[in-house]
Amino acid sequence: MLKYLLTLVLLISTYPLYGKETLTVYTHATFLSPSYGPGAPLKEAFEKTCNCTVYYVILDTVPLMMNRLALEGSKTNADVVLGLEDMLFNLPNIENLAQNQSLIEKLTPYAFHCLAFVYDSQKIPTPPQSLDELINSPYQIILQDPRTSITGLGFLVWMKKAYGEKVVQKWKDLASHVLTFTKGWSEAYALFRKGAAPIVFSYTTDALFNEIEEKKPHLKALHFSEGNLCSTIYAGKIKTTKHSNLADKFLDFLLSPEAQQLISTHAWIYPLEGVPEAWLKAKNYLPPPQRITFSPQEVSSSKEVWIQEWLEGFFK
Amino acid sequence: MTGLTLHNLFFQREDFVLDLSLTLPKGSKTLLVGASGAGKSTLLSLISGFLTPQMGTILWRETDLTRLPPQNRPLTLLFQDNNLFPHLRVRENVGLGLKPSLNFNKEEKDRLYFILEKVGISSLMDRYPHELSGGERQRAALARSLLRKTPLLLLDEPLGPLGPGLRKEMLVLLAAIAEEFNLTLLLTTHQPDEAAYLADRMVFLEGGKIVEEGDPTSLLTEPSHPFLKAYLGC
Amino acid sequence: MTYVSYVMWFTIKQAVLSTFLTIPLGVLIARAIVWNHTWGPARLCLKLLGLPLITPALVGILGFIVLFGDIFNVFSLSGIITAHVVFSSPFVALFMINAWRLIPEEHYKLAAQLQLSSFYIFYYVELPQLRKALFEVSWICFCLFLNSFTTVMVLGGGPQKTTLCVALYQSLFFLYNPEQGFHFAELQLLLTLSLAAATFIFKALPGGYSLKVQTFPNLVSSSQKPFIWLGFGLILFPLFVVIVPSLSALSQALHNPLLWQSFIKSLTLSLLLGPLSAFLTFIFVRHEMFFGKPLASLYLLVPPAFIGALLFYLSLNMPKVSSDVYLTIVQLFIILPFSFRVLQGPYMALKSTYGPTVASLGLSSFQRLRLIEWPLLKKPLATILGLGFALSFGDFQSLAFFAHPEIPGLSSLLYQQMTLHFDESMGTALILLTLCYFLYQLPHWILKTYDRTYTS
Repeated sequence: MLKYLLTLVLLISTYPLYGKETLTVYTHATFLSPSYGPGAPLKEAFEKTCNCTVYYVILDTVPLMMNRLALEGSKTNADVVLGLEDMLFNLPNIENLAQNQSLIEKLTPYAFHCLAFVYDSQKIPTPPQSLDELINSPYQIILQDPRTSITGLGFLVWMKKAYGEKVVQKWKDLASHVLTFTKGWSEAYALFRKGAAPIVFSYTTDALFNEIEEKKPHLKALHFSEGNLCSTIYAGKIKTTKHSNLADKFLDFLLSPEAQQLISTHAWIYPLEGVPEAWLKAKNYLPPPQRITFSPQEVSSSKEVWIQEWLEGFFK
Repeated sequence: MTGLTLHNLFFQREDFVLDLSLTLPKGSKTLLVGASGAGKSTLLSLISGFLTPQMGTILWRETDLTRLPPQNRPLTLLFQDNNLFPHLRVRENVGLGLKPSLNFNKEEKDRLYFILEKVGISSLMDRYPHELSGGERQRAALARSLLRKTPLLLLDEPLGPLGPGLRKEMLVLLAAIAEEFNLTLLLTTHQPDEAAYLADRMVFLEGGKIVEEGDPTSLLTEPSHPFLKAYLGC
Repeated sequence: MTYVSYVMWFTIKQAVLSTFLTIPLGVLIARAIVWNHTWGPARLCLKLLGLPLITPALVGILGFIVLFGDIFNVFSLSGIITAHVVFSSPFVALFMINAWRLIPEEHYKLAAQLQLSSFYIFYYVELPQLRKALFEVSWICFCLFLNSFTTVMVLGGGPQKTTLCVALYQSLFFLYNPEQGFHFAELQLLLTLSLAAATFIFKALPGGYSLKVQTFPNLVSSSQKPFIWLGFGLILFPLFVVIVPSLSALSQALHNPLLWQSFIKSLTLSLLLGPLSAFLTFIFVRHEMFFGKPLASLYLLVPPAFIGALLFYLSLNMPKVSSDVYLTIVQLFIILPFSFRVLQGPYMALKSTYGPTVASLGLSSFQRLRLIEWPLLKKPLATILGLGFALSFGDFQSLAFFAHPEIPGLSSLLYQQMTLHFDESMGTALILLTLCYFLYQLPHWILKTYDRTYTS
């Protein structure tokens, strides 16, 4: 009896979904946010150029998406993944990548963004000007969990780059005024918008989003004198895809002027080329900050150790 | 001297209607007899204030009890069972009749002991209810009601859980106590013949009404009402 | 302190604090209901006490966030504890009211005659007779809080605010670190075994079923009535604050194709799990299988997250088996303890009343079912069927482990939306909530038993 019932579930749960050729795209939740995600307009624009359907599978955050892919292995239905960042693996050398993440066949960079602390200038008239000042400031800060959030991982890398061996002590100093570590950037930003704390770890371009879209120009981004950490964003084609041509087409599409425009105006990240007009006119616009450099190789090999240091700073 | 007066007492709940008048002289001992569902327990609940009649009055001497809450009525109601709190010792259970804080001074302790002696369980005062026999439990409950010094004592099937020997003993004790403390007794029972010699009056209840009342011995030997005849099996 | 031991410490701390706050509140509500049980609102409140048990946990938490989010930071230890108190005190009240029924009515009459004040009645009459039940329900709450998953997942979840269950989940799904997950699983097993041992030693689980028909004492206490309103508030406010804004978010939610796919998936699962769990429960109870009783307490001791993690390891090694099979097993594990408790009482009562008669008539198993058990147990059977539907439909824990993101299932979808599309999540929550209640009632309507309460 049980066996038949279970078979029934199996049958029902695997029913076919669509008629047209479908491109299954794994992406993270922020990408499809109605207010700051380019997912919906990109899908619409791409579907006009092909007789196909773009089907997004939404994972909460980028690292969770990578875990999911790793779990599914060659069984995955994904054709393309969006939102990969160079700090997640050994990037410049794709052959290396092919060994580590053998699932991904081809990577196409399509945008970049820079991490920054975003603050409420009405609550903090004279904000900290460097990472050190921020750590020693009394303000409550919302951060992301580096284990689950790519933004959080970015901060982990940033801290390590800035303090090296002394990082545990710095984590300890910071511990007293961290409001919470959220699972992903979205939760952190939602908390910040609700006024839970005056500072959140986010992106430089949020200041533009806040001014242009939200009409809240007082929520500004901090550009530190020593520079900010930036990273490039990639789309990846999955090796096991059954829609190879369509996947290639999609990757090329991401680099078209139309797609680049959609990405920058909807996702509020820097396109590879050409900054939108509206940004240049905004009061909060600053050119991309000086980049703190890091090697993806180092990140991938030392990530576990750095996470342990972070945990130590908070729990020992 | 008039003790308890029930005047045109009327109480209705669903199908059941109780409608009666009754007078108990002070110091009298009355048996309340009737089949199950005749209204015996309901009547005791009405007198003690756990139920409120829709019409009629309940008087103790000149005082109108009809609207008084149970704790302000000059009476104690004893049940067939569960008269004692299982987690308290006998002396605590009985002592609650004096004051709930159970902090007794010398005089109160003496009085407690005196009453326990009176009902014959002073040697058991440190026991818990489950360590007592059914008869001893009833005595403890009786002791507590004596401490409260209420002149009217209502007993709902006090003999129910007892064997024949103990029933007799309990009746003798009840009679003696009632004499000594000048109590007015009203008790329900399923064994009117056994209880008859304790009582000076007997009331037979059927369908919420009094169908016969009078001297117990003559009622038991020569019942006139057909219901009572049927109830007694003669 | 290592991180793993920190998590252990936090797990126990939040469980202890939650228990100490939940129990008094539950008792106050229970007492207010018992003391005013003839009062209309009290009767209604009593009927609603079971509601949080079939309300999808995520919908409740969503309401909790809307309700308290502006008052204090709910994503904190105090948020977790407050949520535990809000969702569990009605259950405590329900449990305690059932214990209250066992206090003889005579004791209240005696207390009235002895002019005991409300405090002394509690002290002399109620507390001593409720002590065992209080201990039992405290233990149940403590175990449930120790194994708390959904609440901690949403309101805690960061590295500082996590329970063993959630940490176990996170090390598998967030970190892809089965090794650390294994550590947490070991600790969880240790915790489970010590809980089981303690339960065994203290005999902390509710045992026998009283067959006496219980009545409430005839009491009135207006001063306690505020606690009845408080009970209403705890049960209904988190639902109202979801339902009201959800009506406008509904159309937006309905436009999401993922919602419909998830809806069909959840409904299919639920329609399978309802009959399956009811059938298994009936078989277990009827044949008095030896594992029946441990099963009923299993839920308290072994968190479904632990089972989920074990099966997840298994699924990594047996990738051919569909994740829906594992999903079904975890859900059965969640539903069976509840339905078992619901059915066992009535079944035992039936057996002790009519058992000898039935045995002497020499009825066959089928005749016994058709002539005796079915007509007399129709109501509890409808209840366990409804429970199976509702618990399966609303469960998040099993989906967290085995839902595929392509078609996540309603609870999983809601979880995702809660952090991202807060407004849209209201619409999803409304659908989840309505269907859950509808599915719970459905068997009662079909079998014409009209039960509106779930009493354990």
